[in-house]
Amino acid sequence: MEGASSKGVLSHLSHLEVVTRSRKCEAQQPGRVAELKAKAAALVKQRDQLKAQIQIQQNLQKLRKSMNKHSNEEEEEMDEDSENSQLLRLMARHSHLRDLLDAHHLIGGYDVIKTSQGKGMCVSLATAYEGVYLDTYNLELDLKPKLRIRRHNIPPFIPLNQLAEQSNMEANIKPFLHLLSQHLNAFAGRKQQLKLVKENHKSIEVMESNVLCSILVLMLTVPRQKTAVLCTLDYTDQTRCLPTNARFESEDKELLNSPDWKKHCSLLKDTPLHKALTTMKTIGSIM
Amino acid sequence: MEKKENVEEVEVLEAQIQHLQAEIAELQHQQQNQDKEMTVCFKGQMLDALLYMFAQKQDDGMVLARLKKEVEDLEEDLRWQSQMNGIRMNSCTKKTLQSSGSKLVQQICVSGHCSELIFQVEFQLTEVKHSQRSERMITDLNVVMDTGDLQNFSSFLSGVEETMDLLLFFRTQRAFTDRCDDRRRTFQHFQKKYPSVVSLPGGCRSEVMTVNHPKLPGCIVFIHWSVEVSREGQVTPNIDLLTKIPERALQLFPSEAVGCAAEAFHSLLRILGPEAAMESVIRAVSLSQDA
Repeated sequence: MEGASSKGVLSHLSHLEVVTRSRKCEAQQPGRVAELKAKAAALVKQRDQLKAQIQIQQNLQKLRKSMNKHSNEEEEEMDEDSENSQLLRLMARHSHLRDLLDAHHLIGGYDVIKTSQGKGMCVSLATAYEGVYLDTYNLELDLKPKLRIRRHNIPPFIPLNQLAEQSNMEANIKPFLHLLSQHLNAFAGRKQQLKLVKENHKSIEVMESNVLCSILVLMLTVPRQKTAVLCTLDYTDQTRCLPTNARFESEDKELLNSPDWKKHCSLLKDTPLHKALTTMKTIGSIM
Repeated sequence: MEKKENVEEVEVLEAQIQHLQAEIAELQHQQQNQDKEMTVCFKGQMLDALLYMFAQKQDDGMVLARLKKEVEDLEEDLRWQSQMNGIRMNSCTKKTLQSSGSKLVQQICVSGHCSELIFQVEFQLTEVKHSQRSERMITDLNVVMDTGDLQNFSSFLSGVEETMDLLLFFRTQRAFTDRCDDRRRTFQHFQKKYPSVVSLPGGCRSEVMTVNHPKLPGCIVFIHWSVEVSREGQVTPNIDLLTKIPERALQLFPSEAVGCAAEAFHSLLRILGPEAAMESVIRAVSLSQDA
């Protein structure tokens, strides 16, 4: 004790520190081993799961491939009919069906859903233009006592009731859905063309357009002379994305009678607007 | 001594862990590649089934039963969609070409049939997720169809491939087969109703129906019913009447009715519609009393 006191409190403290550190170290060492063991065990579990998952996926893919080949729902018999192989077959069938349903969705199918115990149904109408999926519209229909539209989000300028009558919707819904889909897709296409013109042709001024995008007046400018040409497009057939009529107006009558501008007129009638304008620009007819 | 052993054990374990980590990374890579080949989505009952297969817990077949129920529901759903869309899908495979953050590019191959028409369609689907909505776009559209006897379809098909208009392709295909089915039904109806006068030399799916009186084998009236598809995808049926009457018969019995039969038939079509117009021609040829 004396010696300790003679060496001073500080050295005693440092001795104590060493002792505790070594104790801690002893306690830590097995802890570190346990920790590492636990980590290794977790990793082994993860590895085994992954291996199993890969195996299952491989088997699923094999089954799926044979399903794609024989589409008539004939599944190949597996060697053993254990619960696992039964489960595996069901899983393969499940993913096959999911993908087929997805395919129906991708091709713009109606995505029909039955509601209120088969008394009603919901239908989706997808629209797309040149590969770009655009708005989807929905209809909720009553099937009983008679077929009628309950709710929908179709724009009001699409003549829904007229189309229903024209296609005799009450007798058969499919022609009606087809016709409506044609109208909606044509509208989406015209709208998209107008959007593309506004985005890509800044030198062309859109003077007039309506919500249905069935009338369009554009101001074109001839380079050099800077002559203004008014171009009016009429989309009378509302199941089409192309105009039924295209005409030009300008003070320079001679210009409009030139063969180039005569050609432009027919170009506008059978080419999408944004593409026709690009062509006219490349030729140098407009700015 | 004890300490040394500990250190050795730690080293062994650390090496083991490193090895496992490398193995896992390799397996994950393998799985990703596998996923690219054919993406299988594990959600809901599918995930339960997958977990069950790992764990092999006893659960009295509940997982199997639940998955079975879900598969049955999917079958029913698919039947519904096929019926409403008029299209039967046989296969759909997806390969992941690119998957990074918000962008997903998949190569999709879909095959199936619409009435008698068999199709196979391949395309790339690019999906870009924005905060609110996602943008989907189709590129590299390739359509394979047996259009041997469908000349008017080929110009439409090349247009569709050019404009990537997948939805238009299926809408038009459906409209086209619907109109062809109308024709088949009408032709078959008349063949059944007037078996001695009406015949379908090219089968019930062909464009031609012939009408002739059994006692006048040389005099034939052809009904030519084609379904035209424009490049834009507009489907329009076209019905024409053609006559084949021996020269000699025409010389002996000059008849104005035969000369302008085609025109007269067109006015009949406008007034009566296709079925009634054809029936009146059939009755006229069969020399029916109540024609």
